[in-house]
Amino acid sequence: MILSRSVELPNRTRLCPAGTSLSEGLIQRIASRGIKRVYIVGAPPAGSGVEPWATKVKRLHERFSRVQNQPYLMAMMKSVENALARKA
Amino acid sequence: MIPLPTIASRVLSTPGFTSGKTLTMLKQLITDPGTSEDMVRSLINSDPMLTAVILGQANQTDDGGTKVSEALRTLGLGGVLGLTRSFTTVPDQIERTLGGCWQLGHACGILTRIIARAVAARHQNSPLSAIDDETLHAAGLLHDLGTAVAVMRFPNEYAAALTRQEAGEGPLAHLLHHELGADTGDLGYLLARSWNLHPLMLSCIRYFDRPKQADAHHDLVAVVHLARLLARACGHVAGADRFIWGFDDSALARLGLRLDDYPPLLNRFLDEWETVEMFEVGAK
Repeated sequence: MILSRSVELPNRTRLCPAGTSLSEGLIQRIASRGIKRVYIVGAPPAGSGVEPWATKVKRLHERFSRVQNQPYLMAMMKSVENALARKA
Repeated sequence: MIPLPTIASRVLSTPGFTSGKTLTMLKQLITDPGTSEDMVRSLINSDPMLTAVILGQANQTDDGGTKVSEALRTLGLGGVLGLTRSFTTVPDQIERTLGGCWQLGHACGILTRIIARAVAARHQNSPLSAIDDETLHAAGLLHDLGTAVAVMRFPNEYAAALTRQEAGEGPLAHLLHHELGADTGDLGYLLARSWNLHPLMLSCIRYFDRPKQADAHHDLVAVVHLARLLARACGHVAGADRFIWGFDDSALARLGLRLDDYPPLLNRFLDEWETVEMFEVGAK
């Protein structure tokens, strides 16, 4: 697995740059600094708990399914979808 | 429906409760000489129940604070450690639902601060300008204390209300009122008042779902109302209570926000939330 984004602490100290290949030892060192998740190249591995984009969108639409007759909320849903897409 | 005196007595006898993992982490942090106060505060600021108990306990000795940092100075880390000994660990079967409540509260805390700052920047006379970041976070974090109380103390009525919500009968708060005789705002308010939380927190806890009825702190309650709506829209929902049913447009009118204000607010929130998700306070 290769890091697709650099790994940083909350104070922005960089632990390792994007492109680093993850070894067992490096994963343990990263975890020991409190890092719970990292971004890797490619699709998330099965069982990682990260939702695929299509599932995220489906759940978003489901959450707004009871207010489809309220234009303001539907517009808000679109804003949320765009913001989530930016992070996907 | 449960008689009101029974509801009150069950709420008022509620002990502090949270996940065993959080309690262990907090104890480890406090007993580790290398821990900074910032780390302890970060962990507490992600847990509504810890925050409520610590603020409430600190308010026994002063005139009603709203900041966890000041409460930590009042109680000392030893005092906080003592408080955690009286905490109950939540049972496994409801840990997931409560985890959702805590996550919603944390997301709401971040959004409350972001929205309040945006409103205050636009309207210089806004009362929100006078409220510090830590207080804003706590107001959002604590707003839904009542759902946690419902899950822990009235599990049958909460489950019945959820089933009816799934069937499309309406918002959970409304259905819980039918099943129990009180909604989450009432439950949270009752507990928070008995724990000496600041009036500003009490208003947010009681009226977040019906901001038009707020007795005071109207702007902050409106912000919490919107923060909750956006947090839930982004997927931070408590268990099966996942549907959005509507909003109070008077709250949005009060804040003077338009639809095109949402994208930057949401982007800022998702950036901050990414840090929360990536990093776990207390790991060594």
